[in-house]
Amino acid sequence: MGLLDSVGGFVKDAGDGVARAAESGYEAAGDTFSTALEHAKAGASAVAASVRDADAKNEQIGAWIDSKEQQLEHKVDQGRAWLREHGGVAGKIASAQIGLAEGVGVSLYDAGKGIVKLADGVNSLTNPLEWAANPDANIARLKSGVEAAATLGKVVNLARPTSWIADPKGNAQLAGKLWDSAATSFNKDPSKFIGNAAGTIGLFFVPGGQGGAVAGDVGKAAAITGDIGKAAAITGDVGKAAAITGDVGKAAAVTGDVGKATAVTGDVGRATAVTGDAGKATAVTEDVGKAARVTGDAGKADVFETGRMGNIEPPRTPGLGERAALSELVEQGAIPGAKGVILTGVRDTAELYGDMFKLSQQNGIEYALTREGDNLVLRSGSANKVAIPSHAEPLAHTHPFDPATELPQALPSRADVNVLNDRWNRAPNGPPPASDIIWGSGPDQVTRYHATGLDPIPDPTKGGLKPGRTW
Amino acid sequence: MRNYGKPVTDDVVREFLPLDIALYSVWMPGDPTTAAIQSTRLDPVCTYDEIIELDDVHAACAAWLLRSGAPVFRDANARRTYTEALEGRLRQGLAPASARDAALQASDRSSMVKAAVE
Repeated sequence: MGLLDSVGGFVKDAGDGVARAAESGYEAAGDTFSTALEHAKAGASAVAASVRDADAKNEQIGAWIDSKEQQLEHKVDQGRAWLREHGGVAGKIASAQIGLAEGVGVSLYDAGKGIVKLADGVNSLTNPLEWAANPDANIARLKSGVEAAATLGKVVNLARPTSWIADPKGNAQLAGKLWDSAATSFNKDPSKFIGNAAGTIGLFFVPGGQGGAVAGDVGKAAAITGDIGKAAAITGDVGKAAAITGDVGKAAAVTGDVGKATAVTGDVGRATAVTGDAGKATAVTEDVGKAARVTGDAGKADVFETGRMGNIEPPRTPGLGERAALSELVEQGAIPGAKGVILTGVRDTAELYGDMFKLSQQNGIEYALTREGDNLVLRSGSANKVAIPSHAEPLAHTHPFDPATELPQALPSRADVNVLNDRWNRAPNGPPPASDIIWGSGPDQVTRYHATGLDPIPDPTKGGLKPGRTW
Repeated sequence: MRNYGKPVTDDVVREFLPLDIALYSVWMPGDPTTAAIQSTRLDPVCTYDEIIELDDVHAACAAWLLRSGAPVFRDANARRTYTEALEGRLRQGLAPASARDAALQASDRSSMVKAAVE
């Protein structure tokens, strides 16, 4: 049996199974679906033995469908309708049947395009095209289902084509983590998982479950043009996108992966043809601009050269001006990034700190407030790190936490103190620098800490620094 | 104090320090736990204090930078002089490694724990 025959056989079997399930209705679907899944597992084994690379699998399957079995699409369309209606249950059955715990993750998915294809769950999520094709629905589902596993600020990156250009490794790792989280949640309490996060697992298996078209490869990306609203989400400024797509070589230099760079740039290029939503297009335009700068200048690409799992710095909110009121930033959940925003209309420190913490907690990343001349500047970092200009006066920074798994972190880290020590050593005749840690939205949830010089940092477990106290 | 919760590998360090290594410098009066890590970012060129909130990751990052030959200074002002020189070279358009080497040549290296380029 040839490679394509193996893949094709699986797809055909799976498609038949889904189609039969669609005909049988929900109650009867279990057995039929199980039969299909048995076929799927057999097919998966054959395919896995033959085709190890997920991209190759997609390509082969897509080619097979296009060239050999167009008639299957009709059946699969029926299956898609069924999956749309019972996506969560289908996901449950599928995942249970094929051994989600073992991480096999082979499933029926990608029903949106009318293609039933074989996919590894992780590899599905690590395909930038899938995120580009259906970003809103994907994020919405993840927000409700996997918020504890990864903050929305991180997840948002997955839906940005340019983010995949900039940080393919980091995004792929994050996607993998989301998959692991879903698998863990499912195995821990399947019934609850189905109730709370069916959409999430449905996302993994049926990305187009809400009716959005999802294309599995660059060639099929054009299919998403049937849904202008969603396609627009990946649409950027034509000129800037062209700057990227026009020079795949440089993009590849940034990503270190020609294949991914090509896939993303090709997708962006096609997507520009369907721009129709200026608002959403703007959301991507700034990222595209950044990517263009990166691709245009290898020397400036350093920040993007590695993955940053656990420390992904969400990009600056597109369209954010140089100045803004903090209330506006909170309202839009803005991310100022390292560039920062000059705050306007600041009157009350307690209110300022409270809003900073809300914003920080909302995005799951640290925010830092500095004084620079007459200005108060707000910057953002990542979940466990923030950077402030060395010339700026560090007034305060936040310590966000995951309420599900962490306690508020009221104490300074060693780096917090060392940074102040560094400043004091540069200006030893002045008073020891001090700064605030904002670890809650209340006025008493602030810890002021000072430089210690070269003295050892007090041990908080032995009566050193306590929340609300100074030393 | 927060920690990473498992062994901090070099891969983890690179997740926290994603820039070209030539863009980092360290003030370290004692052992790596006393380090203050700085990065000189591009576009626009500006030096930042990197505040890593996980203590073990912070120490691992400092140790990694030292091990990797990043400029590590005992004296805070010597480090400031170095980063100002580095910024100047980067603004002139030098690539990070070239800018670092040139900045080191123009810096007081007497307090360096380990020079990146001798």
